[in-house]
Amino acid sequence: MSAALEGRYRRLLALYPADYRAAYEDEMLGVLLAGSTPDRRFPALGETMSLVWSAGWRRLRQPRSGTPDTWWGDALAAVGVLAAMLMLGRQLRPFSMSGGWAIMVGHPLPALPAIHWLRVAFWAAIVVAVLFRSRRLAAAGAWAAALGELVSLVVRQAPPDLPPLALAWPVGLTAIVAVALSVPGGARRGVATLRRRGVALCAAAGALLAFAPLVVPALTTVGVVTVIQSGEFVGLDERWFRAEAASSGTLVLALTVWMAAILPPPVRRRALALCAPAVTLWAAAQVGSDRPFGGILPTALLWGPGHWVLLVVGPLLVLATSVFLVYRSERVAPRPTA
Amino acid sequence: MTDGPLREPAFLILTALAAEPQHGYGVIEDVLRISDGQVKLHTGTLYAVLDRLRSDGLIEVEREEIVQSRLRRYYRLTGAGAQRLVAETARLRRHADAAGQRLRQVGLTFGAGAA
Repeated sequence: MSAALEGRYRRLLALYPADYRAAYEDEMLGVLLAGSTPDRRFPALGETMSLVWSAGWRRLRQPRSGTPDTWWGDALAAVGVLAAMLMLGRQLRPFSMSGGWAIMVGHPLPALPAIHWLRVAFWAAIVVAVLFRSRRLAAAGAWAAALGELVSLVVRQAPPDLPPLALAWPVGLTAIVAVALSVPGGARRGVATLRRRGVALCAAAGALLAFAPLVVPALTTVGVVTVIQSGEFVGLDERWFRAEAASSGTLVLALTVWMAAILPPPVRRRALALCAPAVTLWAAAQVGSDRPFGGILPTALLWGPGHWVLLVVGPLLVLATSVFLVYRSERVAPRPTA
Repeated sequence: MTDGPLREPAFLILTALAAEPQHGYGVIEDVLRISDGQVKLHTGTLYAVLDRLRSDGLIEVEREEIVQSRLRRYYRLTGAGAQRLVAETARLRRHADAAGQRLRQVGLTFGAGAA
């Protein structure tokens, strides 16, 4: 049996939390080596996947809060609460956008497609479940929403100028939120980690995202933005919409950083590391857009191979770098114990 | 302890430990035998299930040995574990009996396809 193989298995076992390693590491190593052929130099793929999955799940478990082994789980649960609020805010945006203009021009509120109502109903229910600290309902709701987005993707008619994959991102986004809400302890853990102030900041970020589209119609009403001159419609400068989208995105980011700032430092670092890929994705989408930061017309992205690489590899790279930096910073400054 | 149905790995591990105490690698090999080569437990899965079964009080450590300078821990079924295995076996047998009965009603027999 090679020492190299043993070393590689030990590195995989190091992924487990300390208490689990203390209980099982030697024993597991014996089993892993007993199951390996004498000429094997690298861990078997199946064993590797099993160890990585099992160790990851173990680390997300919540034996007790505020210990090194629960920091990632606490951070993910907190990010799950924020993500649920932001998703509700995102689903409410079409309502405030169309509603704001209808009120401004004195028209009745326009009827939006049923899918919008369904999304709002789902995410409102998920947010209520989060606030009532029901992991099961919040996670089930988020997974159902992800399934709904998948069905919607399959049955809807994609605009001819966009490849179907360009419309697939809501499925991925919803699934990521569902994973965050499914972490052991889930919503209860997230709310406990954030405390009342953190939850309020998450709610503020969601509300900002939801109601920011009211700003441009409101500015029109008070005369700052001009759409009608001498009784004639003169159009609307699209830069106002871009400014709104950029400002609300930046303010949501600022609220997220504020929310993270009130978390315990180890959890804060991890929460920011988990948020970093989402921010990268958002920024990458703007880079490839012919109308950065939105606009009144649907954004057409430059779906070339380079942009796909940026959208897919960029967030993953940022996540890997963030995780590396978290561990590196904690190696330099010893981690505080609970 | 949870009262829901046992998952297949947990059921097979309890079955492996029903006859005699076994160590981790012994359990993997026995499960492979019991399942006619269908279920090959990975080490990560094995210890996740063993840990859960221990915390549920269904198995316990019988003894520890050092073999070739490595720890070898033998597990055995507890009384609660044996009861749980009996209950689960009865549940699965009821389901299997019901399935067999329905299949016979429509003229299908085990392993023979359509009659």
